[in-house]
Amino acid sequence: MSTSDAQLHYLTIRQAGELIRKGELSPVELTRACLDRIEATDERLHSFIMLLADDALAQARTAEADILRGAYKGPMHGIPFALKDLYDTAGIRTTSGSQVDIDRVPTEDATTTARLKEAGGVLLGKLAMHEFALGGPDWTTPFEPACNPWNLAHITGGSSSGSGSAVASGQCAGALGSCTGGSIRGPASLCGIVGLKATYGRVSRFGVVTLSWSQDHAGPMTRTVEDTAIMLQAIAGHDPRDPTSSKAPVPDYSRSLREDIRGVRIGLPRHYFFADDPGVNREVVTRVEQAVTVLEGLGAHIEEVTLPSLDYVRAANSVIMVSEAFAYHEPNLKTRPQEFGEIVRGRFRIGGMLNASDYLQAQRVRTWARRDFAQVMKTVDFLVTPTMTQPAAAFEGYDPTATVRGKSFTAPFNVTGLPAISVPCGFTEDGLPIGMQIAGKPFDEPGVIQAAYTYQQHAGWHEMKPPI
Amino acid sequence: MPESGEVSMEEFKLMADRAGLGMSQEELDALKPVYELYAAYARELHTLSFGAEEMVVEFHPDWPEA
Repeated sequence: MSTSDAQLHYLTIRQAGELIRKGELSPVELTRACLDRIEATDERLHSFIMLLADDALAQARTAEADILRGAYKGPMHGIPFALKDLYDTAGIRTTSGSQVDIDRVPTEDATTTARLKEAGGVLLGKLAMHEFALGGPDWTTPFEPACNPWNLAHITGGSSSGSGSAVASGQCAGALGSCTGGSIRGPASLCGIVGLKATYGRVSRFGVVTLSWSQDHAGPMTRTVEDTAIMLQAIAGHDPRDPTSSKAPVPDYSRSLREDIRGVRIGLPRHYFFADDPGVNREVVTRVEQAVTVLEGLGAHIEEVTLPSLDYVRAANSVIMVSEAFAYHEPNLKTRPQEFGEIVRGRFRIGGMLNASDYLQAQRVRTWARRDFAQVMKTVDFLVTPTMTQPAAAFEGYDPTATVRGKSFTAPFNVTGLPAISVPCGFTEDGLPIGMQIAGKPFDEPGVIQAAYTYQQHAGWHEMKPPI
Repeated sequence: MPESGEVSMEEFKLMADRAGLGMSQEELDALKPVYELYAAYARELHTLSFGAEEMVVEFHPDWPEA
């Protein structure tokens, strides 16, 4: 690979990591390529809240020196990444996209931040997001909303909005997002990249600002499934500082990067995800149906499954989310309400108006849903669905309540805690990306990754680049 | 006139006051339609009956790990 290649910023983590390991690419050169890309595009994309260019170059020089003296740390060493501004970074402002935390400087890194640094990653900066991981593009918050690299007049989806735009546009090799109802998979789908919400407890939430304790997940957003596996490897594993962190052993996810889904049983909950619905875009469904046909051609066995709880999990997710969010944000909501953006101020306030029986009933529905899904997952290995009900909406005429109304294809996997990945599966006729969601059994990230990788390698949508 | 299942503005204000939110009338007017979306979700959940079974995270009276 020529080190003068103008497309250095589009190298995947795996590609760049391999070149760095062999001494054919300098981490400093790669970091400069990303910084140049950010300079060339971020006035239009607004991916970054804070760029840490000098720090990043210093880290890259350290990585280069370490590698040259033989202290190679692995596939993330020297790789430029970025963090949703929800992740604590020691000594570096972490705003959660809000005026409330505009001056908040954490004293220590989030566990995931620290693990990526320990793996040798180069932190480029902090990324735009929807305020406190909820809501939508909101011009009553301090930061300009991120724009979709495939069409700048369209949203990225959220709440990991900057993570979606930065990764899709080549501003960074990978990013971390967070997900409480779909905030990793949503922007991944709408921006044409890969996003993984792992099993609840697989990745530490310590140092990631809370939206809803029992539904929050931290996870990677990358251009390829292999890169998601690499980032997950770096961040997964028990963390004693997160009381919900699982002690389940972390497998070698690279062993899942094999193209083989022969005999795999895939369940399609057609009654919810594929049925005619005025709130669901038929082009999205058609593209995912086509992707399912590809999976079938690759040897998967497809069958229809029924999950009665699906009709209620969206409601459970919403009630639990705002109730827990109110509990977390109550002091500031009562003393500094005007520092919240309009959308989030309202949603969090609603959480204070619901009552205990609403919250408890939502959690009871959640228990039912977990049993319902567990029963179905005895008969299939994965569920496959569209990731989102719509492609990326336009900013003009955007309805912030759209994320509250109608079906949610992502929320069921936050409610149940099951692992779910979004992988690109095509485009609308207008050129907007569409994602396919693959969900699996608890802690079967290896299976989910393998299924997604197999599809990706045959379909090739990850090779497409946005026009910016 | 509130639609079936919706609360009146007076009730909504009482709920906001009880939650200690100190909202103006203008804020109440703007938020009520969004509240009704969530209230509808809550009503939907309450249509389900799980009987007497304890189906939420159980309490275990063990000492937490240090």
